[in-house]
Amino acid sequence: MSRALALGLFLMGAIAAVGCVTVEDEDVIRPNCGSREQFEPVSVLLENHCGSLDCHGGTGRAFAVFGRTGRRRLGSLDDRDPNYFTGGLPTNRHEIDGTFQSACGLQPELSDLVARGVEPATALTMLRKPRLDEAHKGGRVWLPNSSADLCLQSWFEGGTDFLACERGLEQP
Amino acid sequence: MSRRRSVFRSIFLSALAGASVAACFIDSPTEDAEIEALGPELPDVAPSEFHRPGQPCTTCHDEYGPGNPVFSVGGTVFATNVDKVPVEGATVTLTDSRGEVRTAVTNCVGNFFIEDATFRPVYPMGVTVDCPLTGPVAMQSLINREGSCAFCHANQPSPTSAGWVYCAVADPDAPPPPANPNCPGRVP
Repeated sequence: MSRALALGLFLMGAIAAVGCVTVEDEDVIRPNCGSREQFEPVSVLLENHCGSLDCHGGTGRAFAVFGRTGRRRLGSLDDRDPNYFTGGLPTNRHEIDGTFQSACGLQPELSDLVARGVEPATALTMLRKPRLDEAHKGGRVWLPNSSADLCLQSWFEGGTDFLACERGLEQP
Repeated sequence: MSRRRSVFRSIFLSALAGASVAACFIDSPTEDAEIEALGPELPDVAPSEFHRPGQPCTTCHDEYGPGNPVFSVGGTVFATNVDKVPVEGATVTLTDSRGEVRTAVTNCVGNFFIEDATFRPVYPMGVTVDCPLTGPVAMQSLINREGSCAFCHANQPSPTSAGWVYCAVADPDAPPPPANPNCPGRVP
């Protein structure tokens, strides 16, 4: 009886020890894409052109955009605020983080090649779809080398063109 | 030889025709579930342009659903953000990417619709609602693909909804505006 008890305690201890194993930071794969620091104007642009509830601001899209004009991010900073609804509070940092993670995680291997200068940004689905170089249910969102297109390209390639992002917002 | 070829051709054409017919009757469990989720009709309101105010019209009135006719755009306008009182006579103006403009006027239960046969918009599309008492309101963002207002404007505002379409923010001291008592439809 005491042997069974000892075995049980040993097993419980072993399970607890395994449960406490943590993932070291260096084990987490971090896609190499444009920088988070330079992403804010890109996020605003994406929210404006792609983030409505009936597009990438809706649920069930591989590329998710969060923010004021579309889906709010559950578990976010403003989650308990009664004005945290579509069209309510301004987009917060947590939502921009979510859009950033989504943009980086869409094609991580190719994004890495773009960031290292091996491939052009225009090889990415995220660039090809709004240009309609690739099938896109939302149709052509902007033209190749338009301000919005250049904004997105520049961020993926490592140096956000802030002026292009600003001008891209003015495009219908 | 030519007879055998003709038999093969007949079989091939029959198979092709059969596949085409079968394709017309393919079930979509997702769309079936969406239609089912809308619930039954109100017992005192017949299926008509006065039914189901505030629901996403094109869930049924699209090429798959049971609704007839097929709509390209449809929705309901309510008086305030607090009271789901329908607004009759609101003019909804839609401007698509080609610059095509269409208008529709809401009926006594607040519903409006545009048939797909008369207008198939090229998205994105802007929309303005001109309310009889409170004037025009332009939607803050563009519509990018969805023809049903209620797809994005479902019920109360939430992290996934902009709230129902309304003409004016409610005055907390004023009584809710009256609905038309003679309307064949009503808000549940």
